[in-house]
Amino acid sequence: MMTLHIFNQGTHQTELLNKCLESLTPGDTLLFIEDGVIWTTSSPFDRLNKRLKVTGIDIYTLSEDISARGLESLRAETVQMVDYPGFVSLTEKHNHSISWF
Amino acid sequence: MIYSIVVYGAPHSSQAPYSAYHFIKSALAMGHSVYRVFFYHDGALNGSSLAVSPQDDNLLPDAWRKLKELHNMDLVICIGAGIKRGVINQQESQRYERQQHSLDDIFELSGLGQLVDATLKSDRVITFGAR
Repeated sequence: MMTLHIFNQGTHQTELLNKCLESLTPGDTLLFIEDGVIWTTSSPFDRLNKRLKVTGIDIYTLSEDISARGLESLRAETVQMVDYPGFVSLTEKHNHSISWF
Repeated sequence: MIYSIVVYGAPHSSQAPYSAYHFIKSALAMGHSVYRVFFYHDGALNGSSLAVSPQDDNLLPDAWRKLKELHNMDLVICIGAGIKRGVINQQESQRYERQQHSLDDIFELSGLGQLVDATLKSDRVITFGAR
């Protein structure tokens, strides 16, 4: 059963991110929104990737929240961008979602 | 699909109600329906009829009224969360012997059973959290 994980906390919530990453199973999707999008900028994303033990996780970041924080040029290139309709589409594709906060 | 949304954050101090609103707008535009929005914890503060937003930041609470008028979804404030934060209707105001009530008439004050009911009757429940 594939789960959409929605993470909205900034890079000060390292422990929460660790718990989230530990709970992932292959095929899950991780979406960063609100202050969570900071995790998808280059340096924090490198740290995240080092802690990610599972393969086959799709990682997305919400474009509106990236733009609102002026982070377009800092975004890690391997992260996929979604807008709100894209966010809705992700919830269509996953039977379950967990919001981490 | 039928969606329900849970909002944990207050306007102005959390992004949660704004994110929830944008998500709902997109979901409706894509042909989905929203059965209920459940406001929990500080999210109960979205239900105050006494809040006045500055003119340059006036998305909420008017946005909830427009959604309610156009799509007639349930907007439910958790009664326990509301009472603790001074978001109460006339009935609760009388019960607790207060002089005023503050709940906007587009919202209902009800219990966690409404959240359970929403999970049973919706294909998806999406939570917008706050600290």
